[in-house]
Amino acid sequence: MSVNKDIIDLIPLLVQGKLREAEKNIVLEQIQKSPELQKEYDFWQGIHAIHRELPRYDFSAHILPEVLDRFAQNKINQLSNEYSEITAHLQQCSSCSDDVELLRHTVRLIPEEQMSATSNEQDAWLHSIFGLRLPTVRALAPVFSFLVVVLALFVIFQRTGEQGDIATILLKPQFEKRSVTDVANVPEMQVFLKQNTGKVIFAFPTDRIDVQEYQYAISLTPRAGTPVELNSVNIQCQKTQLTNQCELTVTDNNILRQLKQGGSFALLIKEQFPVGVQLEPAEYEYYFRVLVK
Amino acid sequence: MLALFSKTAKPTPEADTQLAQLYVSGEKATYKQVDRWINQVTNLSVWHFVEDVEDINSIVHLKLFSSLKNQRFRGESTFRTYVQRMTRYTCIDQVRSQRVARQVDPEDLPTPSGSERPDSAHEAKEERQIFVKIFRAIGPECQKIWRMIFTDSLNYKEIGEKLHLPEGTVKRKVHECKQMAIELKERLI
Repeated sequence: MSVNKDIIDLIPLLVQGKLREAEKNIVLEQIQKSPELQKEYDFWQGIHAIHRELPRYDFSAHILPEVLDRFAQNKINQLSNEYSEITAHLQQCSSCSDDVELLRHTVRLIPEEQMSATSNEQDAWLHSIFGLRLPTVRALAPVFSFLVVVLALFVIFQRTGEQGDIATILLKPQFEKRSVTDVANVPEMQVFLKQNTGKVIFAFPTDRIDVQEYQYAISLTPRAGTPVELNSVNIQCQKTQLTNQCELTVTDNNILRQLKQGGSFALLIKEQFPVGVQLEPAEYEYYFRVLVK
Repeated sequence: MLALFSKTAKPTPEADTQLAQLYVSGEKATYKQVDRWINQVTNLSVWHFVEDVEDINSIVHLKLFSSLKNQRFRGESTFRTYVQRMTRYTCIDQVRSQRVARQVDPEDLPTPSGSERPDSAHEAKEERQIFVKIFRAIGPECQKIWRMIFTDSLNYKEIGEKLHLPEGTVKRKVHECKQMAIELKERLI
């Protein structure tokens, strides 16, 4: 049985309460008679139920993530109009600049996929390296296998000793002391760390990026339990591709250990200038809560 | 050892296309593999998600399903790259919605009516969450049309005028969006 197309068109109006009583009754009667119309009605009711939440997902005032991603990966011609439009938007939209930086970090942090090459490529590889026929290779296989295992173990031990997971924490101005009005309810960023985190990078906005030999002292204070203050001085600010942002890399085991215990922290970043620089050092205090996976 | 070398794990465009097809058909092992790729992005500590990562992952799965159904994967990159790119876009949308959420007045958010029974209130909440996921996963064009219908209270003719499209085309698009949404809902349930 074909469904009345006019009724279908009226259903969105029905769920919005825009029909007159008589129209409403006719449409409702038709809906009750037809499972297909009932399905249609359920769908529009579902969308209408969330209509007040729709503006929350309206990002039409911003550049599409697809475009920002290409920009972040340097895949847009710098002489093109598109590139100029993006850079102009970024100058006015700080959140879009944050997004670009996030996309860059993400690509850097995604682990490489382990892959083995195709068998044809492998045969060519063996031939070009050893110049050996397959039976000879087979005869040498146990020796070769042993060497590979020894080499792999060596690499694994080296790597586990040196590094672990890298966590990048983008410190946001809204979690900084100066933006806090209600001291009793300090807003905290959520930060996730892993037990094997071996390096934490704090990225934060600053306008002092061009000052020569510019360094920071940071101190981390847990806000619950024993107030242990951990200090680290002379941390170099690494410029990022984003203007007015720098990264402080922390590998200090004391700080990492403390962070990995989880809980709330206050991070104080204090500027340090070389002798002769006549600038008032700024202090930033950020609040965040660490959750350990 | 030589047996290990003979494994052909390097992705080829054909293998990737096949993988994409297996994913759409709901093949379990491929789904798990794709889920692992998605997790490699969503679990990064840079995002600071307020929402459960599982919820974000499910939105990525829906987006991916919808995109693959519309033949948008053309093998120009590996399937893994495609999946992780789409995951990054979804993560950025999530970060953006979190920014908006901080600015939204709680009074503006829907609240269950006092007369509602707790079990039906719970059901309604679950149903709403499903539709929010569908809305977030569906393409920007469908989002725009639905917003025009419900937020701007426009009829099909007015939407057509705004989008410079004939009324019939708007109706067809609304129908296509609805069909995709129903498919996504079935996939989600």
